Amino acid sequence: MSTFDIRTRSKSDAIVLEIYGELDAHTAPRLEKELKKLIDEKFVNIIVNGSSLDYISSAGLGVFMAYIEDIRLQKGDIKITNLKPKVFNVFDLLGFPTLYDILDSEEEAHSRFKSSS
Amino acid sequence: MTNTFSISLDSDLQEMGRVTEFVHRISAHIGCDEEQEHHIMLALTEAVTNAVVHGNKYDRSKEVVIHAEYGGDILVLTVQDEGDGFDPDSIPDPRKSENLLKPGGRGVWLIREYADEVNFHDKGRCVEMRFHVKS
Repeated sequence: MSTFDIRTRSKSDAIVLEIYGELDAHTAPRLEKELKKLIDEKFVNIIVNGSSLDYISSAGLGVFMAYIEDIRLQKGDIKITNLKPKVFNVFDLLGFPTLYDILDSEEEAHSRFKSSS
Repeated sequence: MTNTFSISLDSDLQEMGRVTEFVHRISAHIGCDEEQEHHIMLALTEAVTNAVVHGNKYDRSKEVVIHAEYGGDILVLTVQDEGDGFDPDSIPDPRKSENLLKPGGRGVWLIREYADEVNFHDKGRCVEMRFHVKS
């Protein structure tokens, strides 16, 4: 089995998803389900903290793309933080920094949400 | 001297854990660094996902076979499925603005990015990935 886990917590103006392990085609539906649940509950300011993410495949990247338009239509955003360099490299290769705020820390993400509200 | 390793997988994404173990085993054998292990992992995972999802279409009566051959400083990985095949040149560039927001279509591009050389055989049913091993 691939190892993957998601822990969710609420912090001031956003929901933080801490993601752990390997985000691949087998585990991506779990992140997809979690994001869909948040959108359905109108929690659209989302921070994904990837400090413990060891690996992401194209299927994992696809989850972020699948929901970003819905979230932005509801005036929210997904901000991605704390990625390891090898994981950031995959996001970077595929042009994600032009579409997403990919930041060094959760604090920066909170500041961005505050300044845009 | 050439060393070979093979595994057969069911057409089920639950098998991805075995792919991870397979890469760890090969990496330990060839003594590559962590960065290269990550590149091998990415390329192989994408190839197996494509084989299970798009090739064999989750048909449990069909297998995906991974074969690894290592000799000198070259690692050759092949992933074979039993599907209908595809034209790898038909995959659009996922970095173009019109494709950026599409949920899929990045796997083959990532394979080409992370492997040193990629060849498709058997009408796209077999992908061969070559890595120059840095140990």
